[in-house]
Amino acid sequence: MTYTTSLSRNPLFYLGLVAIIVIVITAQVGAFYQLQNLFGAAPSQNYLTVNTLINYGNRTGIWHNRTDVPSGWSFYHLTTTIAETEAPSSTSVSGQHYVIALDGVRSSGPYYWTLWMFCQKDAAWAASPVGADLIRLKHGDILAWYYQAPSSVNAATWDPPVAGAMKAATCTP
Amino acid sequence: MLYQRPPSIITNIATIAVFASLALATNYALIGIPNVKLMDALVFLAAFLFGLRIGVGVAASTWLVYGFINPQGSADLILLSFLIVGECFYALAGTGLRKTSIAQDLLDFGRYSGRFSLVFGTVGLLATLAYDVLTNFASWLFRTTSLYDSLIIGLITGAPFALLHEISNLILFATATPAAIFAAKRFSRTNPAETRVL
Repeated sequence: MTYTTSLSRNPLFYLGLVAIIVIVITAQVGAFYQLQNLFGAAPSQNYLTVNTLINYGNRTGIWHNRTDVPSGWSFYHLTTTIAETEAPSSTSVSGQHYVIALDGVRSSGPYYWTLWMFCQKDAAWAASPVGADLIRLKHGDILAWYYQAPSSVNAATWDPPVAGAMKAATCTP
Repeated sequence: MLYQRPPSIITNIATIAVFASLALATNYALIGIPNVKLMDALVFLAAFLFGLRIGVGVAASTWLVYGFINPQGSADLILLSFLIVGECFYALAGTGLRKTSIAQDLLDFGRYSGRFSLVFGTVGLLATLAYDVLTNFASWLFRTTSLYDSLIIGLITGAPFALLHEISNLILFATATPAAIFAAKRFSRTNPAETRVL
């Protein structure tokens, strides 16, 4: 008892707590920047070709094949130019957007927009592990929005945006 | 010291129900703000004020409802079990902190001091870190080729959400939690039998 009581009155104890807070937050910020680097490879061209499928979930899908996408754009930026996008900036520290509606098709009940990327090496679709803001576009990217009602939050159980297409857990780097 | 009769099982169930209802109501109210929830602080408070069993009861019962009835999709049983275990970290943190002399100081001191905020904030942050590491790992458990890959991919892809979760809980635990404990003490609803001083 004496030991812990004196510990709680020792300024070094509180300095240690502040150090723990700084270390934890710094480590998370580091992981966040690592994530941005992974999905934000610097493009080597001024304009990129990016193909985007918007699957509205009612057997209606529209491909947007753009060859004039400025390098440095995120997929969210591209989405706002090819579809009427409703996505208030969330309160997240990274200022990301949660896409609520595309072309008037809004999240409703169990239905919401899922984000997919086509893995060239695997020839399969994989649910994106990150939001559209964090996907820095590269030449030849193929991405998709798919409006569906997943039965689980586990992306492994979701349907791919193209019926009958192969599905991968993650893209092989 | 006055003799206090131990709470009956009915009282315990009612306490769990009240805290779980509060956690669920605030979870659904904050559904549009990802990873900012009062649930973690409520589980911590339940364990701090009423003991580990109550805290674990609140954690498990809240997730059993919120995991299945969730507008963003229900969790499968494996992920749900990890979420419940992770939520129990807050109960462990609450019980553990209650047994320290710092908690005794807080209950005896009678007025607020900034050092309580620092202690509660740090404990909340560490419990949240443990929760995020476990649940981000679990999210990738059966989607990668090794446990190490699951951990690394989970930590990196979950970083934006973990960062938001940890900062919000740091603030909540540093401010609302000590205030709630002061309020509970004033209403004499804490269970003195749970207090141990190391």
